[in-house]
Amino acid sequence: MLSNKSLILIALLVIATSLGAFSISDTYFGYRYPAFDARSMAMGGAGVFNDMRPAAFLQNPANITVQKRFAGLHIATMVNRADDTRMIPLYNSFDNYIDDAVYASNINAFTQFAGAGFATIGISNFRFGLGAYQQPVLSFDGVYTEEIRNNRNTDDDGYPEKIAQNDIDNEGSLYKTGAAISMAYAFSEYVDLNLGFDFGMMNADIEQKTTIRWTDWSRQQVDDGVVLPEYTRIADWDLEGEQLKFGAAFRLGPHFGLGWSYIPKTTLTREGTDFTYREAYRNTPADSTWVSLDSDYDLPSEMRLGLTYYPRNIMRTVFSLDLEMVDYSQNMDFLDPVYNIYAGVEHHVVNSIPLRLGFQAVNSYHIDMEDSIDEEGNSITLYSANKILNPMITGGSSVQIAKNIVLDLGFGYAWREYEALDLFGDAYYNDKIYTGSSSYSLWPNQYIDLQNRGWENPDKVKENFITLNAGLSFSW
Amino acid sequence: MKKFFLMLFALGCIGFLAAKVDLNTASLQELMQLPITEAQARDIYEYRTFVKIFDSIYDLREIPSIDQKTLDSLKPLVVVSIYTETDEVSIRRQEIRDFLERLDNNEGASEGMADVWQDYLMTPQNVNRMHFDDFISLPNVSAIDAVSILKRVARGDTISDTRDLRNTPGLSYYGYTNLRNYVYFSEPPVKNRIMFDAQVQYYTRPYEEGQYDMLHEAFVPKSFGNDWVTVPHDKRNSYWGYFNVDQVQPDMILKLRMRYGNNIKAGFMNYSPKANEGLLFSSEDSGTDRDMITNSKYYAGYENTNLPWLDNTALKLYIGHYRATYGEGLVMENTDFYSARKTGFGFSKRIMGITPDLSRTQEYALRGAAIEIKNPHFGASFFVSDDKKDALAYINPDGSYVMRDDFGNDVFSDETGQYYVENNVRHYTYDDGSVVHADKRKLFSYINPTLPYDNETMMEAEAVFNDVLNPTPGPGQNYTPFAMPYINLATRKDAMREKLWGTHLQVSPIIGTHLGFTTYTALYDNAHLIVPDFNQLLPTIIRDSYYYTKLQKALNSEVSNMYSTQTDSYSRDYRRVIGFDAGTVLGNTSIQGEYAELSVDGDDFKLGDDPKAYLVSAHTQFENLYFISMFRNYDVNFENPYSNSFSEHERFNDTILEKNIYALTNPTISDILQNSNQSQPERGIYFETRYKFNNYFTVGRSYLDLWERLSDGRRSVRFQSELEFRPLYQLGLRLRYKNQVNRYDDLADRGVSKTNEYTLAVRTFLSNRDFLELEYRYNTVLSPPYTSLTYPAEPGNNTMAAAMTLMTGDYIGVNYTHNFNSSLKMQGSFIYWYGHGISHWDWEDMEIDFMGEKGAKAWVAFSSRISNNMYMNLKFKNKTYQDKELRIRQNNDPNHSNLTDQLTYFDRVEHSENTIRLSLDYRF
Repeated sequence: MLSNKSLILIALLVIATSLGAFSISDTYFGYRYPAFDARSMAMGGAGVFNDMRPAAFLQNPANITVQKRFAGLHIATMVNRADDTRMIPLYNSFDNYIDDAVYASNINAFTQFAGAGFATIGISNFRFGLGAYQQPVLSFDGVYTEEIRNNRNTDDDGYPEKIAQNDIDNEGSLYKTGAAISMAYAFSEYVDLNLGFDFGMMNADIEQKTTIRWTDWSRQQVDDGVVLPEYTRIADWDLEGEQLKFGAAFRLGPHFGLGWSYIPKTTLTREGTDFTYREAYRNTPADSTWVSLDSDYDLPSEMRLGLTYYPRNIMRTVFSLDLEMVDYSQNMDFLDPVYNIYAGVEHHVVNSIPLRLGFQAVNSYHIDMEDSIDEEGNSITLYSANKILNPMITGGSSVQIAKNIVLDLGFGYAWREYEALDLFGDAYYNDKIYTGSSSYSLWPNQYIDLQNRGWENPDKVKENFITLNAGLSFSW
Repeated sequence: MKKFFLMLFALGCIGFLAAKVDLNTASLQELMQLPITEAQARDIYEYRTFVKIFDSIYDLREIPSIDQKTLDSLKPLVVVSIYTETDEVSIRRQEIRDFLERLDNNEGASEGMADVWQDYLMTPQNVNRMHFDDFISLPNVSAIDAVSILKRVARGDTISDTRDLRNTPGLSYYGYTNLRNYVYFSEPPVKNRIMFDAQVQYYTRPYEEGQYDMLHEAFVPKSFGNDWVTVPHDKRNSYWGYFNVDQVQPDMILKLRMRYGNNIKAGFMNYSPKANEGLLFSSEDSGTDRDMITNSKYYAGYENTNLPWLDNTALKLYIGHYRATYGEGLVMENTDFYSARKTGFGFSKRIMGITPDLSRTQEYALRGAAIEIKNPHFGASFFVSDDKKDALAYINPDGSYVMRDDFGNDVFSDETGQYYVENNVRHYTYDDGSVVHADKRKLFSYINPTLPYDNETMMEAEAVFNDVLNPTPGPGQNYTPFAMPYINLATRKDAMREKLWGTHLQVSPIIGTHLGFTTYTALYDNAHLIVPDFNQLLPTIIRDSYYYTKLQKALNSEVSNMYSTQTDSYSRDYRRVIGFDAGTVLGNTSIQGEYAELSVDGDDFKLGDDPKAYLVSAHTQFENLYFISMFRNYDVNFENPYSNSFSEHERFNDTILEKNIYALTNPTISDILQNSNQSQPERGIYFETRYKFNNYFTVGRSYLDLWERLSDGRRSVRFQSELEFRPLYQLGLRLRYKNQVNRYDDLADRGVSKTNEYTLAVRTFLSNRDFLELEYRYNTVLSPPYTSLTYPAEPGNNTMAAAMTLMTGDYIGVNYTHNFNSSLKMQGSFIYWYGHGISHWDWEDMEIDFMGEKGAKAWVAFSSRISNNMYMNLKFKNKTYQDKELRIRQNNDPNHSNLTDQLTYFDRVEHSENTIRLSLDYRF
């Protein structure tokens, strides 16, 4: 029989792995949105030097004056379809790990909006620009459903009974509202230096809900009076703080531009509550725990360096390549800085209609936390950090709606594969704990061994993201 | 830097034209003076800057903001001066860009040869001064072609241009079309200057099926199977789970080459294989850190085809990494990669002699110095290499090396000192009283590991696996001791220091006829290579005596016949191979061959007393027909890691290393097979032809191969032919038939299999070089059932009769190529296949893919020419398939051994692989 401590451990596991974002297991750092400039996104997200669209200054504040326009306005929407597939290791009759079997698939879609505008003024060889924007930076959205079923009748292709349903429903994004200034000095028509600065206020209102609900079928299997305890956890917390960003862009002639941007480590305040409730059962009282959350929440520093190349080609062509360093080591000692690559090309294939293609390789950290006890008997938290590569291919095009209005469309397909701890430990569904019986009521035979899986047999998670980005740009 | 000069239309009109604005030279301010808007002026300027130089005034109409009325108003005010590109490198690059890009893509398959050919495309060789080897090292240029040109030049004739080259008697059309891009006639198209080639490649490639299976094999103690032993299902008991190989991990290549004409060359390449984090991404604790110099390849060299003090004599001098290739590749052709049916003709060429090497070859790379000097009658090269090689090592339970003394004893250490064991007694001194001493490691063989981790990281993993293999018995439990309670063989990086020297001498008394001598000796300073004989092999590499008798296959003699430096009959610290090659051209037939011997227990310089390999081939060439005949024989014990000759299969194919990985003491021993580069011991005769009847009918590459696998005497035949009917230029119908029978010599044998494959393809050649192909393939395999498909899937219970099973499979695919314009091309393909035990193959843009069982695959690749000197290729592939495991699983029990009567279905098991490849090439 499981002790209360074990159940708490299960609950902690649930908490630890549910700080989600699009992907419910993208813990701690959230899911970084791709570029909100649909043109840049279609080019793999490259564009730290970008003179084409008003939203370019979201990547680098110096891009306001790089554009050499009087004013610009940009609104964008992004739809992200997230596909999460979880698998367990599978063994053959020689007890050999041979593959993985799917046990849960979830597909969900999320929508976000962003807007940006700027104006510039030129005085002699100088140009000054001012911009304002609002955009989501990190997503904490995530929806996940997993059904607990027994395997009765599966050898006859029967449909197995459903015992319980586990749900995770997370909502919230970290938004940034800010202003940027930029200044340029033009050495000649195609040689100029631009310096920019961005100040953004960040806030997020995040609610994360995790539930375990037993089915009517399960309740019918146990005697009257037996409680199959339901589990609910609601974490409701806010993030708030400010972020700085510095940028520079250097146009080296008609064919080359260099860009640089830097965001120092940002510390936000995190406040809220974490409420856990598990019903009473048999001889065990209900667990109702309120935890007040009040801590710092760090975002790592980011530095990006990029090149944009405007060659002479039989079709108008732009090539951009960015290299980015995100220094996660500032957040946790056991993490390393990661290096990300963004590359894309734009070809004006026919009648000035562009075809954009791109690629990005972004690394993120998946962090699993486990409660444990050290040699002296003290409670400790074990961290497992795993760097995960998220490759993405992108494509897109544009439609010129009016003289100054362009609709950009961007498409991205990203995927990643990694190992993670089981989100809901199997031991919770051992009904013998709740009935006090020596045999199962919900499971078809007594050989079933309901143990929590650890790292010896972790989930293999496959995620696919399809992102559609539409942006409307007005520029004068 | 852009360089062009402008010549005005007519000098006499200078005065008149001076008032006009030249669209090709005017500044933006000057364009703004024209009666057009500022935006239009900017559009004109940007068109010239970012699209093209104006050829005529009418190009203005290609600018969206310039309408006919504006053009008419501009006509009297503007002129367009003639633009001529004067930068010879740009001109040359423009001429050959299609070839360069094809070779960029082809780099993976050709393993470094593309670099050499690209150099010769940019800075061609003087056709009137080239030697025989120079010609036959070029793609699709035959010895007969070479002789036809050399004879003409020897007569004192000088080939003056491509038309003149075409008129060379005896030169084939294919030879001519391929050769013309690699040669110049009087003046080189590019004068000597510094040129750079940079390449970056990022490739998330899944493991090949064999590697995937190997890494999934778990370490399970033999005690499993006894009812009272609970073996934990633990994914970490396999290399796959331990290293979490599920993650998407890329291969990365960074390559930079520099040269001054064809004279001075230098290059650097860093290759980070999958699971390695690479130059940018390495971290201290990733376990993949190796010295950057060790992980990279580099060279510097000097070449001169016209030595001032020796007439018509060429010199090559290289330090760093280089390749050496001679004859038919029997003595020396160093590469990590195997390719089947490498004839050395047509597109599967060898580049003879010394060439710089920045290929992905790591294990059989040569690092040192090489010199080659040759003239039309004599050639000599000498090469030395000093490099640390990865090896499969005998290890102690703690992961340390087993040492070997000069007397053939395995030497171990304890606190007293070094000792050997005889009759279970430790001996610290020899019979003569001297202290036991061994300073050489006991190694099994070279190995090219799939996993890139360093030795410390691998040893940590092995320690975990050893714990699994040798659990402590519980109360009342009485384990049967099994053969190998710990990992006794494991891959060790840089375990063997190899000092290699070699030479090739060649005389060519008459044009097209040569006789060569090649030898190399690899010295092993710190190691003995010890491969047990056939009887001892299985106890050494198999972890459980239960399998010994079952796996006693004759085929395993390929493993037991690997080269040992110390046996009962001799002891030495080197491997030496010597060989002769010769060739001549008679009319339109070239005959060539090579004989090689590996010194084992015979006299080093006596022929016929040692394991040998030989190959003779004849190549006959007509205008529309060629015919290749080839005979090869490779002894089982001719184990030369630096050979790379023609064969149907790679060495160790079908052996215990492929079929019985589960029985190995360490699954990664299978890397000897997985990354094998040598030919399987075969004796056989091979014929190949291609014949173009006329413009309507062509018999495509067709071949017949009859061979015997020498390790077990299995005889096989393989035949393939294809017929293309092209009623219109735009339409081709292609019919292909392939047949293979294994063990045709004894149809009652269980190893018999008969394969038939029929393919019909409809190919349409559309306008603008677009291409659409529909392909259908149907195949049958008649063979005994695989034991893995029998029930129950356990050894000893395989009671199924050896009846033949007919398996059928088919495949349908569509391939499409669309050229948006000359700078942007899209290729794509969709395939659905059903294999049922048959594997299909498919050529994706430039690489081959094998597909087992049933699934679907789609890929798309964009080739984008960003500018004249920059090229990008982006490819994405999704492959989703099921394999035969699905059916085996119906008998599996993932939870408990007592559930064997409860069938458990996992019908949603999926293999879904995404692959992305990005490559960027930049030349400047």
